[in-house]
Order: sequence, then C-alpha cells, then structure tokens
Amino acid sequence: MRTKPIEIGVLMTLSVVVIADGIALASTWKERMRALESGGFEILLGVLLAVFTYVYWRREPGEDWDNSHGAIYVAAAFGILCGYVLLMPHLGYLLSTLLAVTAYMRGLANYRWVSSIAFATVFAVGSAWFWAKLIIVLPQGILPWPEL
Amino acid sequence: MELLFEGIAAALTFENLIYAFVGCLIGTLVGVLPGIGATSSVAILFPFTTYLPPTGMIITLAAIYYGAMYGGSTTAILVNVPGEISAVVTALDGHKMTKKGRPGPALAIAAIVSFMAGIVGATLIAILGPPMARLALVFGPAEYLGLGLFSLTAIAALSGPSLIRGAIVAIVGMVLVSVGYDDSANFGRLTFGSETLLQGFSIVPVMIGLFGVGEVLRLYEEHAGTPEAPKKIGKLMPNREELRDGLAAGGRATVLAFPLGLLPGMLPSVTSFLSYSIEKQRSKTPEKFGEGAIEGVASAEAANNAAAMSNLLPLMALGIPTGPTMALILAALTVYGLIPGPMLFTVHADFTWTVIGSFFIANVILVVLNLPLVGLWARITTIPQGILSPVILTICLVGSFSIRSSLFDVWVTVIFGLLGWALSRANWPLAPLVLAYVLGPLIERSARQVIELSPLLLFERPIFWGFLVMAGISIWFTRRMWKTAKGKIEQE
Repeated sequence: MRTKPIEIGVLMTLSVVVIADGIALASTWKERMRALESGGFEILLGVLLAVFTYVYWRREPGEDWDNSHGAIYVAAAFGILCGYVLLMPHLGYLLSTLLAVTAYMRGLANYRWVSSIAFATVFAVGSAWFWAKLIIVLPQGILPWPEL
Repeated sequence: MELLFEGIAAALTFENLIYAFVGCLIGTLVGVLPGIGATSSVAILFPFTTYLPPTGMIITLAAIYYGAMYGGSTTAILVNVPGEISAVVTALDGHKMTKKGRPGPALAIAAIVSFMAGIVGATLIAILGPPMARLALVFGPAEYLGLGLFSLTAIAALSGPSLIRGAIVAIVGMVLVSVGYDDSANFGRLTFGSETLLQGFSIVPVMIGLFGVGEVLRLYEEHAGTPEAPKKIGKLMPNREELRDGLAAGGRATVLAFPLGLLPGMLPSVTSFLSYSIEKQRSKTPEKFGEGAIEGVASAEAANNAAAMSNLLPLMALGIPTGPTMALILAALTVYGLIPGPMLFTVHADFTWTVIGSFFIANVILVVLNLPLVGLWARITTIPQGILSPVILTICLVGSFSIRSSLFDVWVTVIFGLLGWALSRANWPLAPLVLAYVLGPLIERSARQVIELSPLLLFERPIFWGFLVMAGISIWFTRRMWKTAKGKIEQE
C-alpha cells in the first residue's frame, strides 16, 4: 500500500486547521494583547507545513507499506491498550491490569489460560503493592487495594 | 579542578552513590531487554525519578542512560537484537564474535572502552562546561533564535536521508507543542473549545508514547520470539593483542566522537556509524570488519559513549538538547526550576559539580557492576516478548499517569504510541519531533522578543547570522554525507 497520499492528506488537513486557528486567534487582536503575534506564529507554522508538504509531494518518493501479518498484532495490541485505559478508572488498576495482561498473554502470545491468569495475577498484585510503596496513587475502582 | 573534586566527593556520599548504583542497575536491566533502547529506557523510567530530590533525579537519570546504553550493547552482542540504531553497529562485529564462541572478549572490550570514553567525556565536560556556560551570557533573544533555528535545522537534516521529512516532522512537533493555553495571549491555541486540551501535551507522556509504547507495538508487529543467548559466556578478558587493538580503536573513536557530539543532531548513533566507517577505512584488514573485528566493537561503543557524554555539554551550558534523551533530561531540570546556562555553574554550582562528579562514579559502577553480572544479563535477554511487552506497557501507562495523576496524559501516551509506531513504520524520523517540542517554545519566545524590541536588531547581531550560516553548512554537509552513504550502499 502506498502511504504517500494518506500522509499528504493528513499533513495538508493539519496545516489548514493550524492556519484557520491562527487566523481566528489573530483576528481577536483588538480584544487580546499579543493575539496577533500568537496567531501569527500559528499561521507561519501552518504555511511552512503546507509548503514543505507540497515539496514532499512533488519531490520525494513515498514508502511502500506492506500489509504484513504483523499489522493485525499491532491492531490487537493497540485495541487491548485502549480497553485497558478505558477500564482503569472504573475497575481500578488491579483488576484492569489483571485483565489486560491476561488478554495480552493469552490473545497475542498464545500462553495457556492458567499460565496467563497466574502471571497476570502475580504481576497485578505485586505491581499494585510496589506503586503504593512509591506513593503513586492509581485509580482504585471497585477493588481498592492496597489502600494508601 | 577544586570544584570538580568537591563534586566527586559529594557524589561519593552514601545517598548519591545509591542513586548512581540503582540508576546503573535499573538502566542496564531495562537496556538488556531485547528491542528496548537507551532512549526508550529513559522515557519509561523518567516519571519514577520525579520522586527524588533534584540532584538524585539527575544522577539517577544519567546513570539509567549509561546503564541502558551498556545494556543495549550487551543485547546487541549476545542476541543480535539492538535496542536502537547506535547498537546496530556494535552488533555487526559483536554478534559475529559471539557466533565464533567469543562473546566474553566482545562484552569486555565494550565495557572497557565505554568506561574509557565515559571518563574522558566527563573530564572534558568539567573543563569545557564553565567557559561554554559563560558564552551564554552574551546571548540575547536574537542569539537564542539563531541557536534554536540552527539546532532544529541540524536535527532535521541529520535524522534521516530526507531533509524534507525531517523538516515536516519538526514543524508538526512545533504545532503539537503549541496546543494548549498560551500565557502571553491569554488564550487557548488549537484547543477547539476543549478545556482538557488547554493543559496541552506534556513532553513526558509524549516521549513515553513515542519511544515506549511505540517500541512495544513494533515488537508486537515483528512478533519476535524468544531470542537465543549463548549458554556460556566463557573467558571474559580479551587477549593482549585484542586489548591493544580495541583500546587504540576506542581512543580514536573517542577523539572523533566527543567534538561531534557537541553538535545538535549528532546523536550517539550517527557518531557510532561515522567512527566505525572511519576505523574500517584506516584498517589494514578492512575485510575483518563485519566478521568479528574487535576494533569494530570498540570504535562503535567508544563513539557511542563519548557522544552521549558530550551531548550533555550544550544541554548544561546553553540549555540546548542535542537529542531526545537530552530533551528528557532538560525536562527533569526544569521540573525543579533549574535553568541550564551560566546560573547552573554559579548559583547552582553545588548541584552541577555533584552531577558531573557522579558521571565519573557511574562509569566506575558500570564496569564494576556489569562485567561480573554479565551471565545474569545474558539470561535476562531471553525473557519472552509475550511476557515482557504487557509489563512494559503497564509501566508506561503508570509512568505517564503518575506525573500529574491525569488520565488525559495516559491517553496522550497511547495516541503518541500509535503515532510513534506509524512514523517509524513509514520511515519518518522521530528525533526532530521531540526536539521541536523543546526548541519550539524557545524559538517562538525569542522571535517574539526580537519583534517587540525591533526586528532590525537582527542585523546588529553577528552571532545570529553565524548560527544561520552554520545551519546552511549543516544542511550542505549532511546532504553530502547521506549521498556518499547511499552511493556506498548501492556500490556494495
């Protein structure tokens, strides 16, 4: 898959957004001190980004992104990571870590259920205790252990 | 000199020794994990050092950095899995030596020349630091603007064969750092009305994402199995001839790499490649390189460490980070309101000389610690990725959460992790993005000050123009360098 069209699209969109935000800020110069400089700097960045992106589009060869089997693993790993962060405030560090580590070990590394759960439990409990000793306060959720 | 000896004495207090020892130990421990390089190690472990006092924090961070670099070379030599680009050069000959049943001498020479380069580097920092910091006294906004532009240009040019890609990534970094509340205009930039975005993207979660999470996603993509380490390390010390050749090559690499490391963008990886290729060119037996030449290991490792040391000099004296790890150490200094420059060598002299003293101590600890423990490090390199990766991801998330107890920072880490993976997958450099994060505000602030004073001021400041000329030279030089490298690869 050629990534260049996607890259150009993302960069051009970003430059348009930055320029638009810069113009919006600079246009408030009558009400806000230094709005012109602050917005002007944004506009400058947006314009430079657009110019360099144009040069990149015209002059540089793009990369071929081979859709290897590994991309599925990345998608799965990223999905579990998002689930982990989403669950953490609700379930707390201990339970969400247990679930996430189990999912990683079982789902992505093909460890047996028993081994995955056993390691995840030891790691979740041990690390929760260790963070508490370092006085790092993590989301407690439904299982507030260890209490600080 | 007196101040240096006082610094070494202060670094030898029990508390500071513990910081240096623990930093070296943990740094090596994380550095030997296959696929995790020195920058990733510092990024992952950085948040946990914020609980220490300022001196302890910088001593620990610097020790983690050296430890991780040493650990990276151990993994490269034993299992041929370099954690980052600088260790690729070490792996070329180091792993060949392992395959020939001689991992011991490769590890030993790596440790010896690293120590040697580290000590020379620390001495030169002590000698050159104060005069360089005094230079900063003549710097006004125009000079800082020039220095910022030069640093960013050099990094964009050096970070890969494409200058355009480097420049685009640097601008994207400057855009990302401008997200959030702008104190001077009393207004949020690029926040789109979101109150959460007003706090901006802090550099630590960004770095943990790019170099920690991004690295783990890459490991999942490669789906690497358990690396095979040699069962026996065997005899550790190289023979007399190897020691002589290794030390000579290490000495030459140190002399070359230290001044190069002062330049922005001259990361240890670049100096390692340069030293290795020069050593190969001057060798009477260049055919030995890549087949297990001890000079290859020595030149790469010495250059790596000398440049890592000299990278600290512009950071401490001028506040200019030359690479991503230095950007993190700068962030650590600013956590405690320590502004690099002349003040660091005058008002905070106790702190600075203790830290410089600790560089010597950390180098000694590394040799004393690592050579006897080499068997243990070899076993750690064989921890399966399937167990390692979720553990590292958890540490990354906890680290970014612990900075401000904010879930927003955790999401920043996750998103930047994906961005880091995608950028390196598509061969976009990461270093300019991180450096723009630090240099962007400096450039903007200086440019605004110049405009407020008078733009004509620039014409009266020769140092500003000097930096612009240096920026031009760095672009010309790096284009030539990449072209030559490309030609050689095509030839071979």
